[in-house]
Amino acid sequence: MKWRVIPLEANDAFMNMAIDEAVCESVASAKPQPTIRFYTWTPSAVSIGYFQSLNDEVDVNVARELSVDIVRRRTGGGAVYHDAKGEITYSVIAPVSMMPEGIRESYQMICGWIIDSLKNLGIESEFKPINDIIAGGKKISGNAQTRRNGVLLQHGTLLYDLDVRTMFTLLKVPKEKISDKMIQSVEERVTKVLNFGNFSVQDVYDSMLKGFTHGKEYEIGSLSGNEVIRAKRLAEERYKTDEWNYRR
Amino acid sequence: MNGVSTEKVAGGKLLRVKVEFGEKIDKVRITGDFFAHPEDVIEKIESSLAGLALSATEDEIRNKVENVIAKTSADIVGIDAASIARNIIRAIQ
Repeated sequence: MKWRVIPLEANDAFMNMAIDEAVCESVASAKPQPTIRFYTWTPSAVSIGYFQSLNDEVDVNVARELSVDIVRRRTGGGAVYHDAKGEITYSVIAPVSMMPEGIRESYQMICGWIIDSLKNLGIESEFKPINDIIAGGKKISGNAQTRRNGVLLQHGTLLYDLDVRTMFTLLKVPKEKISDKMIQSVEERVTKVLNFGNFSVQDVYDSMLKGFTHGKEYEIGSLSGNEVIRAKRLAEERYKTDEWNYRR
Repeated sequence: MNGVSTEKVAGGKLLRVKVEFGEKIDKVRITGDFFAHPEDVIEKIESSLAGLALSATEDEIRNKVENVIAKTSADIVGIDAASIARNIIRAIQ
């Protein structure tokens, strides 16, 4: 089956999540086209996992002060700070029939495409179950997956740059722990592409495009008109609403 | 009364269980950075535990959770029935 690849674009948090869902709906239709999309988050945002409590995870007042959006994902996993210039996010949306049946195996397969992407930059990395990729022993990519209506959605981020201090003012860690020591310890556990060389965002995107499409039949495409309409509606009616974002 | 229990499940994910209870368990809220699909399995587990006697044992709670997971054919990654049961008991103690 030929893949559709939607090139790197910037959207706000609500549209990013709504586009994923709109594409999931079209992939669940009678004529599915598996899709890979690449995107960034403008303005910067925090996404929380489907099962997380927003109030437990995010300092809403700080997010408001910094004009950082907050959105609940359809996928599980943890809270993520998506710096507008600090990462590239991908989504893979495909019929489950195209993917390994096991959750761990399908994580491993798609995470393999990120590992290939990093290899294109000369960065060695490895899959760390359940859903992480590590380089130099530190986390460089987090990923989250769900399956619904016969469609697999996996999205994840590749850390390009990282503003740990901003991340900690947004994510709810007891204030007394936001010390240089704490930041140092996070930096010991997390890494970023820039730690491995002076790469541009374009370099990283080019390597991801190559890593994700290697060996696949694909075409560069865009969202259909119906997907755009549906995504805008989902953004307004679900992803921007308190009912959705504060449901836990 | 309200009780909360949080655990980073060994080899898994963070699980936080909040329980509202009086003479029985009134409401259970399960949150964390785990994965589950279909996602509504967690709400079904929460509903199945409401109304449970405070005297319910960890094994009884675990069995109840396992039954819901089996009925919904759900895949849960990062937490399990045993960790949910363990934390409910801790939350009401």
